[in-house]
Amino acid sequence: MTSKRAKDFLTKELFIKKNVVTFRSLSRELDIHVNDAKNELAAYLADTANTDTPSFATYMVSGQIAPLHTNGSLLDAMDVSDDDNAHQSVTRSKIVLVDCDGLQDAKAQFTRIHSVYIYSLSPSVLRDAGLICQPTVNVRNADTKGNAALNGKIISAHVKIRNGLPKNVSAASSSKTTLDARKPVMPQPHILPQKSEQTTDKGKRNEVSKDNVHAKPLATTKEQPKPTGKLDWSKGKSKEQEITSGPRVKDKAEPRSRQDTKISSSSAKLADKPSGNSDMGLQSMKKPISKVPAVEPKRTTKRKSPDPSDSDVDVEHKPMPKDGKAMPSAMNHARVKRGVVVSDDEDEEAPSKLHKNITRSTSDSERSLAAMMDIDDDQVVRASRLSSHRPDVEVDDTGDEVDQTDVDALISSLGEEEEEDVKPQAKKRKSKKVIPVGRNGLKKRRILKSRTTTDAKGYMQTEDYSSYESVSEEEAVPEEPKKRKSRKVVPVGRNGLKKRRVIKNRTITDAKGYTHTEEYSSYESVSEDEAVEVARDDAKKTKSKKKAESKSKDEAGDKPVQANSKIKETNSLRGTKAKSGKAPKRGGLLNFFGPDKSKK
Amino acid sequence: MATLDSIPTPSCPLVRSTSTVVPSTETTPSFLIDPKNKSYKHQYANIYFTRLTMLRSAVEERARARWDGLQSEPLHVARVLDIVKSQLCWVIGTVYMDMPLKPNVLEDIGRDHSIPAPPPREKFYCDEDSVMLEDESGRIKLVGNRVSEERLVTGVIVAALGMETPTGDFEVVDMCTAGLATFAEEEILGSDAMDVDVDFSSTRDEYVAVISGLSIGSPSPADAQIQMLVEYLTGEAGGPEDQQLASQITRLIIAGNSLSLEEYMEEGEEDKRPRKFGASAQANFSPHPNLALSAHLHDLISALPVHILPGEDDPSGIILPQQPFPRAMFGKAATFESFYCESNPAWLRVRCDETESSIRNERRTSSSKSNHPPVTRSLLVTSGQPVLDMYKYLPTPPSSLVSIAASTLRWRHVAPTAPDTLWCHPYRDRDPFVLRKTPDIYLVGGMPKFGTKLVGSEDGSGRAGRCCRIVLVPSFSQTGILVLVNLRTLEVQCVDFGVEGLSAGGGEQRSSGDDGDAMAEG
Repeated sequence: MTSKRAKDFLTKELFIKKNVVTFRSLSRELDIHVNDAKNELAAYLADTANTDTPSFATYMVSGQIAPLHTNGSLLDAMDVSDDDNAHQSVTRSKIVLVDCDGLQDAKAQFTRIHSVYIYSLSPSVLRDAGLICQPTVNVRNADTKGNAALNGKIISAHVKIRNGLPKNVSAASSSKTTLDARKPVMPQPHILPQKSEQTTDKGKRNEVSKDNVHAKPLATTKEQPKPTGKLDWSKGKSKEQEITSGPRVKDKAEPRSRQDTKISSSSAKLADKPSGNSDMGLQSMKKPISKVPAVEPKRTTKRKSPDPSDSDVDVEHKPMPKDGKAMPSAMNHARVKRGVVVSDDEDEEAPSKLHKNITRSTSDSERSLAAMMDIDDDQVVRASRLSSHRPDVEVDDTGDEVDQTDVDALISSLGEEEEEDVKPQAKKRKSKKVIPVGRNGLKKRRILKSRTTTDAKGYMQTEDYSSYESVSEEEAVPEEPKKRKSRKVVPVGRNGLKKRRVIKNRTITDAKGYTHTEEYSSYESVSEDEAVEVARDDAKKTKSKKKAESKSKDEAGDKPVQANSKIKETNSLRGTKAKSGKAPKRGGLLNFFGPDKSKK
Repeated sequence: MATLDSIPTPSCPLVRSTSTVVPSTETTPSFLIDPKNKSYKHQYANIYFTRLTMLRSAVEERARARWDGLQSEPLHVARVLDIVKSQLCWVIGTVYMDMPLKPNVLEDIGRDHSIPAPPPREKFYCDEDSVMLEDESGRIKLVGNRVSEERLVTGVIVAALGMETPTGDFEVVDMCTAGLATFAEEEILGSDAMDVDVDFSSTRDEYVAVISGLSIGSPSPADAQIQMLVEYLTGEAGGPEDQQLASQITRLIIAGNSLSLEEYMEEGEEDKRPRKFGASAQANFSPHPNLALSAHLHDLISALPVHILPGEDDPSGIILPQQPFPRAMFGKAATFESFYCESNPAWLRVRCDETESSIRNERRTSSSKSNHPPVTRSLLVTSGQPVLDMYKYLPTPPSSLVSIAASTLRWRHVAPTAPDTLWCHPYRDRDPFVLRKTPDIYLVGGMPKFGTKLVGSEDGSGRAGRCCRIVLVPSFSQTGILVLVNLRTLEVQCVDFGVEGLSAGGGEQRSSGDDGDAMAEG
C-alpha cells in the first residue's frame, strides 16, 4: 500500500536520521497532496506495525465539540433587556493533537468527528508536542522552492508579492517562483561585499596619507566631493544629490533615483532570500551583509575619480559587478549604474550616459591629478584638518561628514552580528596602514589595549587590540613615562606587605574541550626584607623590558626620559597612587595579561 | 492501533474565498498619527473638550426624545453650573469617576522609592467611588441608585436627569447615553436575505479569522498549537470538512500580543531558566521570537492576507493609537502586498465580492449569485487595552468584559478612559476614538476568555434587526482558540487547538486563564 518512495523516505528519516516525519514534511518530500501524505503515513504505520522497527504515531483529531452557549455565564444576567440573540450558541470545532494512547479519550469529547488521521510518525513516542515543529523548517524550504498549492496549501488569489519588486516575474500565487527566479542572481552579493570591504575605507578617519591627498580635491573641485560623500551612504539623500550633480543627468536621473531608492530598499530584502533555505538564524547574519553591495559600486568610483593612478585597486573589483549584474560598473556615475543594474528596460539609455560620465570623470580626474601634483605634504595635512574641523566649509563637505556619522549610527544599529563583522575588518585595515598622521595633523601612535568580555558561557575572554591615538608632538614624550609609572605601582597587600608580581601558568579546558595554557601574573605579598630584593629585581626587569620596548618603538631619544621616569617612579610611588585612584587597578589589569604583552 | 479512514484528496483543489479591503471613509477614521500631528505638547484637556462637543448633540437628541414627553417637563440646562436647585432638569457632561484607588500621579511622586511599589491593582473599584459629571464650566457629584446601575467609567458623555439636592449633589432619576451610532455600511437586503444565506449557501460564506496573543517568545511557548494553527489556516490540517472551512477564511486578523512581554524581561537570565528535559521546544525555532513570528507569518501570508495589530505586550509604543509595526520587522513576510500592518484600534472595511465568489465557486451552488450579493462589512479591531482598562473601573459580577465592550458602542466611544488611566496620544482637535458609526463587527483582542454578543440598538425604531457582532478574542497561547466570523451572517465559530497526552507549552498558563474565566464570568 505504501509507495516505495514513501517507504524509503520514512525508513530513512525515522530509523536512520531519527527524525519526526509529519504529513506536511512527507507531502513536500514526495510532492503529493497533504491528504495523500496522511494516508501514506497510515499505510506505513499499518505495514510496519508488526515488524521489529515499529514507529509511533501522533494523531490529529478534528471535529465539533459541544457548542458554547453564550447565554449564562458569558453574558451579564442584568442585561436581559438587550436582545434575544444572546442565547445563540457558537459552533465550536476542535483540533486536537494526541498520542496513540490518548486517542480514544480524545475522540470521546467530540460530538461529531470530522477526521482522524496520523499527524506524524516518530521513532519513539512523542512526549513534547513542540517536536512537531521540527520538520517545519524543511517544509518552509520546500514551499519556497516548489508550488505549495499542489501540496494542498490553499492560497488566496489576493496573496501578492509587493510591487517594489520587478514585474518581469509573474505575479499571482507565484510567490515561490519569484523567489526561485531571483536565486541564481543572489549569490553575487555575497561575493561582492568581501571585495568591497577590503577596499572600502571605513578607517578613513584614521587617515592614510593617501586619503589626505583625496582631501585636497575635496576642497578644490566642487563637483567631486558630493558623489563621494553622499553617494556612499544614504540612499535617501541620493535625490538631492542628483539635482546638484549636473544638469545633463538631472532630468533623466531624477525619476530613476526615486525608483532606485525603492529598489534598493527591496534589494536588501532580496538579498536575504537565499538565506530562507538555510537556518533562520543565518538570516540575521546575512542581512547586514546584504546592505553592502548597494554601497560597493559607488566606492569604486570614489576611489577612482580623484586619483586615477590608483586604478589597480579598481581593476580588481570592477569586473565583479559587471558579470554579476549587467554592464554598468564601468561607469563612473553610480546612479546610472544602479538604475541599470536593477531594471532591464533602461539598457538603451545606459551607453550614452556612460559616455558622458566618462568624459566628465576624466576631466575631473585630470584636474584632481593636477591639483594633487601641486600640493606638497604640509598642505595636504592642513587641508584635511580644515575639511574635518572647520564648521563653515562648503555645504558638501559638512554633508559628507553627516553622512559618515549616519553610517556610524547605522552600523551600530545593525546589531551584534554586524558589529562583530565590522570590527575585525576595521582592525585589519588599520594594521595595514603605516599611517601615523591623524586628521588633525598630529602624529598617531599605536596603543595596545585589552578588553575583557564575558562570553555566552560565562567565561571571561580577553582580547588585545591596538588602536591609534593621536598625540601632540609635546605630549608624546611625557605621556609615555606616565604610563610606565602607573604600571610600576607596587600594590600593597592587605596585610601591609608589598606585593610582588609572579608569573604563573594555568591550563584551562574551554567549552569545546580544547585546553588552553595561559600565562598570567598575579601579585603575591612579600615580606619586608624580600621586598627590597624584589624592588631591585623589578627595576632590573623593567629596565630590560623597557629597552626592548624602546627598540620596538620609534628609536627617537626616548631613553633619557625613561631614565628620568625610573628615578621618579620610585620616589613618586606614593604620589601617583594617591593622585590617581585608578592607577593600581589599571596596573593590575594590565599585569593580568602578562608583562610582555602589555608593554609592547 | 486504530484503523483510520483514509482521507480523500479533493478532486479539484480548493479555492480560497476572497474578500477585498476597501479604503476607509471619513466616518471610519484612521488611527495613524501623521507627522503633522506627532506632537506631544498639547494638553489632554483638548480631548475631553472635543469629545464633549462631538457627542453632545447625539446625546442631546436622544435625551430629548426620551424625556421630552415627561409630565414634569424637565428643564434642559446647558451647563453643569447652571443647574437650578430643587427643579427637575437634565444636563449633559463628561463622567469623571473619583476613585480613591485609582493610580494617582501625585502619589507616585510622593512614594518612598526605597520601598518597592505595590503591584498594580486589578480593580480600582471600591465603595467610596463617586461619580462626577463635568463640563467646561464645572462639575457636580451624581448620586442615586440609577448612577451605579449605569456602570459608568471616566470619560463617557452622558445626559443625567434629576434634581440638585440641598447638599449640592445631583440626585439622578434617569440617564441617557449616546446610543448606537448608525452603521457604517449599507444594510444588505434586510434581514431576510441573511436567513436565506444560513440555510442554503453557508458553505460558501466568507469568513474572517481572528487571533490574539500568540505570545511567541514566552517561556512556555505554545509552539505546537501555533504550528497546528498555521496548518489549519493554510488548509492543510484536518479532513475535507475542515479544509473546506479553512478555504472560506478570506483573511486573518492578528489582534495584538503576538510577541510575549516576558521574553524581554528574561533575556538576561536565559541560562538560569531550567531547560526542559531532552530537546526542548526552544530548539525547534530560532530563539529570537521575532524571527519565529515572522517565519509563521510568512507561512500564513503566503496563503492568505494577514492584518497584524500591535498589542499591549508587543514591542510598540504604549500610547494608544498604537502605530503599525514597521514592516521591515517581519523580514520576508513584509514582501507580500497582502500583509497589512495596522494601527492598534483599526477600522477595516472588507468587501466580499459577489462576482468573484460566484466565479470561484464555478456556481457550485446554483443560488450562489442571488444569495451572495456583494457585502461590505466594517470591522473595528482593538487589541483589548481599552476594555481591560474599563474592566478595572467596574465591579465584575454585574459587568463583564462583553458588556463593557457593548457599552463602548452605546457610549459611542472606544476608549473613554483614555487620557485618565489609559495612555493616549494628546490629540488637539479630534478624538478618533469617538465612534461616529457603528461597525458591523467589533473585535477585541487580548481577552482572557472568548465571548461574543450581538448588540442591537435599544430604541428599535426603524433600525431593528441590525446588530453589531462583538467578539472577544482570547489569547491564543492560553486558550488555543481561533475565532472565525462569518462576514455575511455575522455568525461566530470557534476552533480550539489543543494538545492532549503530550506536554506542550501554553497550557501551563492555564492558571491565569482560569483567572480570566473568573473575570469573564464574575
